[in-house]
Amino acid sequence: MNRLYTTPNLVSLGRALLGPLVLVLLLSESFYALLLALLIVSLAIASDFFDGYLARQSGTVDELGRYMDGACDAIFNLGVFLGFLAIGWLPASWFLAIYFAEIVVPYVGAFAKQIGQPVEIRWSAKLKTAVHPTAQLITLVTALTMAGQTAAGDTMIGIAALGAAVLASAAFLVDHVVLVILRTSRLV
Amino acid sequence: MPGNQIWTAANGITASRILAGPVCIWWLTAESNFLIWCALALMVIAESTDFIDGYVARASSRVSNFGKILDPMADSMYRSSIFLAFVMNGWMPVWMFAIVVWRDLTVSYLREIAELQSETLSARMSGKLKAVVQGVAQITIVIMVGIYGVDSFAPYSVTAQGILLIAIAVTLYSLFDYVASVAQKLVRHT
Repeated sequence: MNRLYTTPNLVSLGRALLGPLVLVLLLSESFYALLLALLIVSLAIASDFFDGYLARQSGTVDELGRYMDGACDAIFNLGVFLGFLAIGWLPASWFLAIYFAEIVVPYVGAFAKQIGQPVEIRWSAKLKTAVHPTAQLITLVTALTMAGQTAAGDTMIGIAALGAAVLASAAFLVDHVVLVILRTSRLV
Repeated sequence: MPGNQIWTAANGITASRILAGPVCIWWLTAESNFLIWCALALMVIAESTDFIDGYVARASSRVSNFGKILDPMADSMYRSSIFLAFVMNGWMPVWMFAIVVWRDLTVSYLREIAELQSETLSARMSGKLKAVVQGVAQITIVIMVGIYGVDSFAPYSVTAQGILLIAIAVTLYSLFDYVASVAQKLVRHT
């Protein structure tokens, strides 16, 4: 049974709404705004564990919750990466790679369901779920440590963290697209 | 009855729209008046493929499920690329781009969520209106840049911002329309 108004789903929705808030904070670029952004990103990561825990405890684990969780993660993460883009920490091409992966995979998933070949939770999705928040945390901590002397995106640590996020998105995209093409080829 | 083919001419035309996006970013951000006009020509071609792909699919009797999914996906990727170029050039504020990105992302997930109830989220009138208004807004802004010149274009002029605001208002309306549509389907099934 797919229920929309459950506590875990509301926790996920709350996380999505934090995305715009982080974007606004990053645009102000002040030390305290960055600190608050770091706290919110940490809160969002905690809520990602909490909604799953709540769903298991209350017996409300369902497919809808799984998709809501993925969608809210993507909305939140894009808010943070948009902020990084706006303040010059993330190159536009890197942002585009992350965004394209987030857009394409749900469409590919919907197509896979239509042809009766639904895509299970893949290793690449788990990898992205782990790498994106970690990259965000590392970038924000680096920026706070630098105290505005240099952009986090210009440091080796910042470049490595954000580069890992882009690679995780690329793996997420390629893994899902190739899987669905292979499964479709068997049907045609 | 739509088939499950992926490699069709119509899908190739649709996919070309995705590739047009990054090329337009390159040309629009090159600070060259000549490349602005090149980008405009490519944008007009890309917009026209939105009509041509459907026509080719119907004419060749190769309408596919994949094509129905690929078309809105290619639209999102192409138009977001153009808006990203606008942001990079300072022609559009980030908050407007954020609304475009979040709307397209939300609708892509809503499509997958609707499939949970075995219901295909078909293109809604608000989505088509959004596509037309965004396309017209993008082409109009690039024409303005071409006429005034890259250096003389005033991105925060009332006209430019008014055009973008209309596009963003329609984008928001489309977002709420799709969310309401899927929420109704979900409530009906639970």
